[in-house]
Amino acid sequence: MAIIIEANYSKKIGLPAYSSHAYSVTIRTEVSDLGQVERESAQLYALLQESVDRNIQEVGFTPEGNGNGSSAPRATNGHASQPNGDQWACSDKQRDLILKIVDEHHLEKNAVEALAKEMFEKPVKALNKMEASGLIENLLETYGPKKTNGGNGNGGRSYQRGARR
Amino acid sequence: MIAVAPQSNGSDTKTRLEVLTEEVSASRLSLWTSCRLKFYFRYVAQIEKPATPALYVGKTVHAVLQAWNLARWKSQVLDADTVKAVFTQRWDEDQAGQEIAWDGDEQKERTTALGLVELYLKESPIPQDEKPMAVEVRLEADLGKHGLPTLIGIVDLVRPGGKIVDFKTSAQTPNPERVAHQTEIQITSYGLLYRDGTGQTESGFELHHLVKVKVPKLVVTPLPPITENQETRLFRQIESYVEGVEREDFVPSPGIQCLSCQFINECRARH
Repeated sequence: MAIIIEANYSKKIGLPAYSSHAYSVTIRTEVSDLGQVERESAQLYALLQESVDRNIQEVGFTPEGNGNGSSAPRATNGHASQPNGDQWACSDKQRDLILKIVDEHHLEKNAVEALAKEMFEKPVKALNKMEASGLIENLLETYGPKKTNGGNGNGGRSYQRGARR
Repeated sequence: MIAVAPQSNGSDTKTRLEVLTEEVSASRLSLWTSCRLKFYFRYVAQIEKPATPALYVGKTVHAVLQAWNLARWKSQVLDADTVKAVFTQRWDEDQAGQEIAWDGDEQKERTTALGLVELYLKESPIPQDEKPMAVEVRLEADLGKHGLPTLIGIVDLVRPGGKIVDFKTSAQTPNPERVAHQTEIQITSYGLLYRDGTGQTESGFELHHLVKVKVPKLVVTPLPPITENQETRLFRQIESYVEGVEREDFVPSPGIQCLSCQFINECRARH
């Protein structure tokens, strides 16, 4: 009866900027009797560990970071950079949603600008992501379908922003 | 009554699992770390349960405080009569279609909830004329460059200077040290969301606990900005969450917390 040994050695290591990489090697071999299993297993373990350790030292690509294991979007204590011209400070998705609401409800752009000024004291294009979210919520409260109870928690709105809880 | 949850190996749950691994919130993550099977019932099988009286009180108080914050944003004053009107509307309308197990105590719970709102407006550290930076704001941070899903969340209130406030109702007076640990996932998530949403660092956090003891009280717990260690811990938790959800590792965590779990029957019926 053939006796099959399947050995796997896997290692995962942490890298800077909250990266990690892992490598594993699996090998199958056959021994003729049970008496060989222990010795064969020890040899395989040593072989696989040496192979994995040698290869895993090549970390390849890692995302940009500060090298200390932290990876959150870098923040500053100063003000976020202001956009210029036609650039929007919020995300593309938020920009598209604002424009969609304005378009579908035939809103005066001046009125939306006035709302942004009232809420944040800055023009719409200069709103950061958090401020743009506040503006969108206000527009949806005013112009979107009314919220309903139960269901999926999205209030039946046609503007899908996804569940958040 | 036992609602039997579908087993998790069907293709119909696949899309749901994908959704859950593409976006993660503090609520999902907290429930995952608390009990994976409860997470399964709530987020994968999507078994709906009516709000408990305590949860309903909390939600209504939260809704009225949101209205109060929004009014301040528009430089409006929410007087006592308006507050009561908002409270009444929310209390009555929001439970339509829900079968909340009041056990004859709805009036008592309602009085408690309104009392908490009135207490907060009387003792809040937030000046009436203070304009918020954000109220009930939906935020998301794409963590894709770290191999992690998008972090999503709703922040109750951001005060001027970047002070993030979270409103809570509780039956016990919070211990400042314990509460910092207990809310770490939520606080760290909010810190990351704020940083991503504004490009700035939060100045700190405030937990505003409305405590439902014999004589209700407001306890404000200040917390410092999140640390790199907290960020790393959260990322590791998210990583573990994604890996666990992907392999459908919905094991139960039997313990004292099960006494108040709404899914206890489903849990006992599952094998």
